[in-house]
Amino acid sequence: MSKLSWLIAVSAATVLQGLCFPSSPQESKAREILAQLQKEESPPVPTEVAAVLFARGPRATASFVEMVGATEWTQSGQGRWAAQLEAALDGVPGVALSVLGAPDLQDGDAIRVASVSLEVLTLRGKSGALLTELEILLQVMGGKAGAVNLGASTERAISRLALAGELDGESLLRLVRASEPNLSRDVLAGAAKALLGEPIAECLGRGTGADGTILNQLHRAVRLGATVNDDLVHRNVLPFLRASVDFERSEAAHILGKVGQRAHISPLIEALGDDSRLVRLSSLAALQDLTGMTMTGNRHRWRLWYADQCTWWDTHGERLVASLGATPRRKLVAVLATVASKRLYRKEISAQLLTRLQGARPDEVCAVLAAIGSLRDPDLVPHVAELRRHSDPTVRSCAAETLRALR
Amino acid sequence: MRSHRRLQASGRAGFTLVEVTISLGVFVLVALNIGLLTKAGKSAAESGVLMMRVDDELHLTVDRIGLALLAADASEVDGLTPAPLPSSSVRFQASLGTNGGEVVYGPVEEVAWLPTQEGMGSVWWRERPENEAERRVTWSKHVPLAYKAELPENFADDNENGLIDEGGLAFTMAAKKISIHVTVERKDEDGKLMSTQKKSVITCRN
Repeated sequence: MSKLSWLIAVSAATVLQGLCFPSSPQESKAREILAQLQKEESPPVPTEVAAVLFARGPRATASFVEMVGATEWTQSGQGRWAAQLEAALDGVPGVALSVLGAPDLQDGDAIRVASVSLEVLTLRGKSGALLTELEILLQVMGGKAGAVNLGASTERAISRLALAGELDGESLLRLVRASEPNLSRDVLAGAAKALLGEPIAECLGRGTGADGTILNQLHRAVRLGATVNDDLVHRNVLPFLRASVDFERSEAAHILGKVGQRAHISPLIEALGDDSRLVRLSSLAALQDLTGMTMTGNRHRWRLWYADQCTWWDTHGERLVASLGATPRRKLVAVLATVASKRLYRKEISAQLLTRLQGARPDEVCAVLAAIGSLRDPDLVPHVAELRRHSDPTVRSCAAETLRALR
Repeated sequence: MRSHRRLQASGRAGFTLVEVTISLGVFVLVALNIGLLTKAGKSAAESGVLMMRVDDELHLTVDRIGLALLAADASEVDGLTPAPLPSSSVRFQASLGTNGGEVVYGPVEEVAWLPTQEGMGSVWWRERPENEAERRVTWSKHVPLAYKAELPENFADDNENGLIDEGGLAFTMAAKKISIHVTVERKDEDGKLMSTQKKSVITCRN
């Protein structure tokens, strides 16, 4: 098929498609770029393609690159010209780098060029090179006013890297530093969408200027079940309870509520007296999450509760809990009634209560289940759910009751 | 002849020894009965009064606990366990209303059983516990270690009230409902045990 007949066929198909499925403005722009490139007699080269794309802007570029990569276009565009166009597209980031190196380039033009280059990189870039090219582009863009427009492209690029498993905390930190000061928030928001848990937490407190965003994204991540190392939380998140920005204090409290430890309860109780209502509410929610208590924000009462629980544990609680598995039956009710309200140590107590459930009589199982229900340890839900299939109807009924309390 | 008749008449006018003995015996029996009756009556009256006191103490205690917990916010109640585990103390805060969109709570309050002597204890109400401004009142001084007909430390529901080895003051909680079990027990002068108990179920209204 000659080039002319191929062009006629593509144009006819385009017109037919346009009549049957009205295209969006972005699709129209992509078709305009294609038509502009097809007008040229010579095969497409990176500089020409780059010039057209730089003139049209990042959004049109994204549509065009997506169209070129689409299966329908590939099938309809079989041929040498199509292959040349794709090769020329892959050369656009290199052209962009040389353009960005020009000393007399205006800020606005630089942003446009970098945005276009990032769109091409994101949609066509090979993962191996993407990180390096992204860093170079961000460094070139560093400090340019209004560079925040790069956010969408950068987010996509970072998400792609993260999904390919090439982005870790250190790489992200390098990107953040490369993009300072304008891109931090967008870069991190994009990264945090793909990176959950520890990688993003490692960027906290590194002077990126985007700690609030990182904390917010980390909060979202841990809420979705991401795991974060305890030391990392203690080292990187806890200090933000005393940050000068309300939002950072509030987000830090939320994170501690999800992945905090017993050592964080005392700082959270003190945060109940924060000047900001947002922080007070976050701290209260965190305390309730960590302890299973439903009390509201009376700081005196929380202090009293915390001191009572700690004193009990230090004086005889630890020994009592350690010997729970061997407690004689006649003493069991008194012990269970005591430990059932010691929610600060519910993890330790729950572990012992589980051992007590093994091979126990139905009445004993019910008493232990009542204590478990009172402790409100969500980790015990699967164990209690298992008892709903117990052979004894009393135990089944007690298990159902306990599950209601745990939920 | 006339003097002999006088002698005979004067002899008939007195009581014979037998008569005196019988009448004394009857008198003693009647007096004894009256004494016993009086004593029994007095004892019964004293027991009745004591029982009334015990009843008053019980009802007053249960009412006080119930009224205090009724005003509490269910989410602010701490220390209670679900049946069959009984608990002998509760800490709570009453909801007083709202101010500027935020709920205003009263001071922290606590009701607890504390042992005083062998097998007995008192029910205490404390406001702002372990604080400089703490106030405390004894609501009952005669609450035993175990609820009536319950044998302590045998892991059995002896009185079949759904609780195991519960004390003279026992609470359980299910959702917003709190069950209050109180026993008041006193001995009269004869060492006889006067015991009464009451169960009350309240729903935290806040």
